[in-house]
Amino acid sequence: MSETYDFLFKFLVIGSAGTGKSCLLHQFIENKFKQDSNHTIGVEFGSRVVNVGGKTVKLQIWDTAGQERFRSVTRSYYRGAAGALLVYDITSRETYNALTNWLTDARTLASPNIVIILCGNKKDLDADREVTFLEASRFAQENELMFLETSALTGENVEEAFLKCARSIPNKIESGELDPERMGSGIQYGDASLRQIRQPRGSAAQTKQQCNC
Amino acid sequence: MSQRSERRGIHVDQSELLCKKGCGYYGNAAWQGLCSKCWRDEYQKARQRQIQDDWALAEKLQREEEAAYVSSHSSSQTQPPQSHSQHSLATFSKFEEKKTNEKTRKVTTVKKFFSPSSRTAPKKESHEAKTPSPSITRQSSIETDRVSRDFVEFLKTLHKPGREIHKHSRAFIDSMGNKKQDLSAEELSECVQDFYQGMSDRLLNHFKGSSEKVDRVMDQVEKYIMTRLYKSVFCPETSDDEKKDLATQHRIRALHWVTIQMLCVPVEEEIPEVSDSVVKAITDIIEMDSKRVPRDKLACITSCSKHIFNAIRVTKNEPASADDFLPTLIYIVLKANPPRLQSNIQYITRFCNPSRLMTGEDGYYFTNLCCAVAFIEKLDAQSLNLSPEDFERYMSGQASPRRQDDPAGWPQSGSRVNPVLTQIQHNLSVLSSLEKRQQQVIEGAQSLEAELTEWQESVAREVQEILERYPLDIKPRASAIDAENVENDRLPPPLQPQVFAG
Repeated sequence: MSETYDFLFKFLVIGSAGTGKSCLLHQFIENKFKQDSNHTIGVEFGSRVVNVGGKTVKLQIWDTAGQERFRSVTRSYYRGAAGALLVYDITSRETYNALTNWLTDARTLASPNIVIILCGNKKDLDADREVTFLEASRFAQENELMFLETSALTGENVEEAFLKCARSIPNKIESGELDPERMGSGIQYGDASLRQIRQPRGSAAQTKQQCNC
Repeated sequence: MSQRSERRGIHVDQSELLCKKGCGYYGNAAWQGLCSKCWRDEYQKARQRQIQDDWALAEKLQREEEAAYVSSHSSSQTQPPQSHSQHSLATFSKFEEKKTNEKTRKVTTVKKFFSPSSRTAPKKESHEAKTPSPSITRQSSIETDRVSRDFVEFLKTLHKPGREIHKHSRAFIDSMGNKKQDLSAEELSECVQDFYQGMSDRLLNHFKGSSEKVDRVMDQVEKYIMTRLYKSVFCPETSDDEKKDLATQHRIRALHWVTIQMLCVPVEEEIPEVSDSVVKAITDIIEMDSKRVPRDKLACITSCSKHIFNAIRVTKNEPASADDFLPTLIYIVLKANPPRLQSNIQYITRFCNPSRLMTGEDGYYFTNLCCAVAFIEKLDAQSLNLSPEDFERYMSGQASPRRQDDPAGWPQSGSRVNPVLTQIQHNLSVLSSLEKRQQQVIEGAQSLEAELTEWQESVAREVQEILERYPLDIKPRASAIDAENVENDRLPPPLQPQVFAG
C-alpha cells in the first residue's frame, strides 16, 4: 500500500487444482519458479505494480482453491473482480473439460464483463500434451476469451498473460462495459485527482452527483 | 437525561480556554473544556448515574417479569413514576408493536434471567442485581475513554478538518444511539456504511492526491466509532446471530472426528515448528472475538492465515498455494471452534470499511474464512471422500476413524448420540484393555521370577550330584626339583665340559 498508483485492479487466478495457478502467480510476482524458491519468504498474497497505457496500475491477484469440493463455497472470491486468469493444464484433459464450469461461475458471480484470459499452462511438457493449441484456441474464440499458452517453469508468456488482461480493462472502461464508480467493479482509484477528472465525463457519475445532493 | 444531552452538545471554542465550571483553572479539549479536577468529578458523577440507571432498569425488568408471571395484563396496571422509566416503557411498547416474535424471545430471556433470583430474599436480590454492573461498566468505559482520547489526539494533527471529523463522528454516534432500538442489523449496517462513504468523500476533497492519508484517517474513524457502538451492534437482538453462533459451534463440535487425511491437509504436525505454527494459528482465530474494532478482528484472521502458510511451507518445503491453504484453514477452524464465529463474521461484513474487504490482504484472508465456514456448514460424505454409511457412523459418534484399527475392541450394539458419553465409553474400554495388559505383564514377571529361582536351585543340585558320584583324590604335592635337597652330598660332582684340542 506504500507504493503510489493510479488504479488498483483485483484479479483472480481460477482453474482446477494442480494446474499451476500459484506457480503462475509466483512467477509473475517474483520472476522465479516455485521449486527454485524453497528458502525465500513466500509472498502468499500477490500484488505488483505495472504500467498500462501510461498509468501505474496495481494488480492485486487472488489465488483460489481449485478442488471440486470447494467450488460451491468459493464464490465470494469473485466479488469485485475486474479480471481473471482461467488456467488449465495442457497435459490434463480433465482440467480442460472443467473450463466451462469455471467460466460460467466467473461470468455469473463476478460480472458479465469481467476480462478473462485462458491460459494453457505447463507448455514445457509438450511431449505429454493432451489438449492441442488449436482446440483450446477455438474454445477461447467461441467464448470471447483471450488465449495464451504459458509455462510457469520457464516463465514463457506469464507476464504477457497478466499484462494482456490488464491492458483490456481500460478499454472496457472507456467503452462503458466496466463502470469504475460502481462498487464491486474491482477497480479502485489510487489518486483522488484522477477521480475528479473522470467524474464529469460519465452520465452515470452526474446522476450519482445529483443523488448525493 | 437533559443534562447529559447538554454536555454532549458542548462546542469546543479556542477562545474559551478556562474551565467551564468557572473554577479559574484552564480547561482541556480532551476533557470537554473542563480542568482535570472538574473532569474527574464529572466523570465520577456520570459513572454513579450510570450504575444507578442500570440498577433501576434491572429492578424494573424484575418487577415486569414478576407481574407477567402473575398476570398477563401487568403492563397496563403498572404505572412507573419516573420519566426515564416512562420513556423505556414507551420504547418497549414500540418495540413490541414491530416485532412480536422478538418480544416473546426477550420475555423468555428475562424470565430465565430472573427466575432463580425471584426465590431469594430481597436483600440478596438487590445485591446480586447490582454486582455485575460496576465492573462491566468500568471495563468498557475505560477502553472507550482511551480510544476517545487517542482519537482526539490523532485529530489534533489535522487541525481544522480534524475538528469537523470529530463533530461529524460524535453526531453520528449520538444518532445511532437513538436509532439502535428500532433498526434491524442490516439497517444499522447501511447507516454505518453510508457514514463511511460520506466521510471518505469529504476527506478526499480535503486531502487531494493522498489516498494513503485518507485511509489512515478512516482507520481511526472506524476505530472510534465501532468501539463506541460495539455493545449495541455486535450480535444485536434483532438478528439471529446468536442462534447461528450456537448452530455453528455445535456443528464444529460434532465434526471433531474429521482428520487431516480426509481434508487432504498438507501439514505434518509431527514437525515441532509446524506444530507450533498450528497452535499459533488456532490461538489467533480464537482471539478474534476479544477484539472490538473490525480492523483488529481482521488482523487476527490475517495473522492466523500467515501461520497456516508457514506451517504448509515448512511441511512441503515450498511456498503454499490456495489449493493447500483453504483445506488447512478449514482444519484450523474445526480444531479451534472459535467463539461467536458467525457473529464476528457478520459484524466484520456489516461494519468494516468496505474498501478493505473486497480487495487487500485482509479481505483475501477474510474471504477464505467465509469459504471455510460455508464449507463446514455444507460438509457431507462426498466432501470428505467417505461413504454415506461411514459418514453417518462418525457423525452419530458410534464409530471413530482412529478406532477402526481395532474393531473387535468396540461393541457395535446400541447407538450413542451423545459424543461425550461415547468418548467416556471409549476411554473405559481403553482402560480395561490396559488393565488386562498390565495384569499379563505382572503374571509374566512373576513367572519369570519363579523360573529364575528354580534354575538356580537345579544348577546347584546337579553340581552336588556330580561331586558325590566322582570323589576327587588329591595326591600329596610333589616337591619342586630345584628345592634345596638335603641329600645333595650323595650325588656325583657335576660333569664339566672338556675342551678337546682340534
